Amino acid sequence: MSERQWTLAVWALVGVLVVAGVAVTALSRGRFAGPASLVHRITAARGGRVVLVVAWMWLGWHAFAR
Amino acid sequence: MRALNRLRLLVDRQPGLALLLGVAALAYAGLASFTHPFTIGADVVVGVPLAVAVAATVGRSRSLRRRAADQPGRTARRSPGSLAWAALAAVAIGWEWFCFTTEPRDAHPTLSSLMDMADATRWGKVLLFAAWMALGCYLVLQ
Repeated sequence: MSERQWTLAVWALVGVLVVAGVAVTALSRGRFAGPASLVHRITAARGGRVVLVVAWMWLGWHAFAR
Repeated sequence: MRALNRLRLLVDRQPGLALLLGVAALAYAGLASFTHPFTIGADVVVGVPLAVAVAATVGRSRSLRRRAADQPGRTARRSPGSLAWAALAAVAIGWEWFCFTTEPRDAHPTLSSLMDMADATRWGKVLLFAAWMALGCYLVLQ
């Protein structure tokens, strides 16, 4: 396997883990927290909310404008 | 922010309005798909959601600060699973950093490279732009 294929394989694994985690969350009926729980914990502090929103702004600007 | 809270209440009461907002967001994403990076058009279509997000975040922070003053000692709930998601986020951020700092870029595509591949087609760009706006909406309303 080439380096590019290894890199893409790790990204695919991360994607599969996210999808599996979301599925486990949905099937656990509230026993296992979803990704929103992490966002809630970060946004509980004003600084955390601002950091996440700024990261989102940068992502959009970087991906679609520049 | 009163306008934001009023909009949330309105959407809760009228699910049709949520559908209308979703269709409008998709139409806006469709409009954005006709722009190209490094052009004024792209700056404008991205700048509008950014300006709305800044205004909404500032307003929301004020309203949350007022609520926190009314309810002192209110903290985020610890829930099982948060740690697993934090670990997964750390792995993704670590891998992004590794790819970003390792050359050549073609052999180590970053998330930006993956997004470039996805938005090479019109529908890919519409979906990515709509997902980006939905994520921003979710974060601002937290």
